[in-house]
Amino acid sequence: MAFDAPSDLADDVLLRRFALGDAAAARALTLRLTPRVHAHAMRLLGDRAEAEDVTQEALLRLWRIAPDWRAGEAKVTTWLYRVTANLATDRLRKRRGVALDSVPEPEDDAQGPAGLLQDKARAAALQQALAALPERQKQAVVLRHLEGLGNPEIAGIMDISAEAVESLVARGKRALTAALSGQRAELGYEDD
Amino acid sequence: MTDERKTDRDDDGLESFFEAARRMEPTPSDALMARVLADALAAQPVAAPRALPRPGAWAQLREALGGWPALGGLATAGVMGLAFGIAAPAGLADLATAVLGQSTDTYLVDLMPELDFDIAMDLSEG
Repeated sequence: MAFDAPSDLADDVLLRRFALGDAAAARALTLRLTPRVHAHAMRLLGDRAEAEDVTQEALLRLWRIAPDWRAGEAKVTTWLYRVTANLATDRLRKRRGVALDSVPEPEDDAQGPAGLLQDKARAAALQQALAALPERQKQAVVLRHLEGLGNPEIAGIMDISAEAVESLVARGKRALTAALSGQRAELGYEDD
Repeated sequence: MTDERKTDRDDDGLESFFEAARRMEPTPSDALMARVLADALAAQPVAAPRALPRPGAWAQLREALGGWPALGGLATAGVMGLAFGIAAPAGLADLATAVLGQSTDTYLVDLMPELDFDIAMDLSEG
């Protein structure tokens, strides 16, 4: 077949096809983008139900804006990270004052039970420490160290300079280090 | 992307927390994936071609007879037959006379005279 498989195409090409009514593009974008948006929402919110709502809403906004999307102006993922963070911030403001005791439910992987438990404990501890950070610091740290983005892209998502990103990440990490220092022994640091 | 975060290792132990969190990346439920896909498909313009309407009885009959050209010939033949029935052209009577002869008497023509013989033989033998 002369057509490229949807999985090989760039996000904005798929989005253009989506806007023309291509159902295969809709499926490819859903499979590709939902996990990323969901993981980001989970890390910002620490609550599965709220993260699912935010994921669905962020992607719904993408589907609606698709016909007006102008290729080359912004990366689809940059736009999605920004919308997800905005939606998450709205949620956090609404529930401010409520104890943040929920953490992501860890998923099974191929590790042995001991390693898995240690990862679970560390991921949970990090999630709780992240929840206590100011929102912009949390967003910058999550984008940099958990989503793995570079400073220029984070700057685009947060609409600030790369230097400001660096500053937010540094302050966020200092706060995380302070929050987690008391738990290092409990979380198996002597094994590392 | 992965290299970026790996080259940014800190020396205060935070990296092992980040690594654990990356390994434990939350994955969306099937139900969420289904909801997102349903939203996506609902937001799309209707581009799928609709099923062609089933042809009606007249259309099916027309196609069975060979389409419009055949139907045209059939209609012409019908009209001519009707016209001859109402008012036959003057030459038609002469043509009939020429072909069938002057008399309108009918003749019995035995096309297979030997058949009678065979039957007669069968009867006599039976």
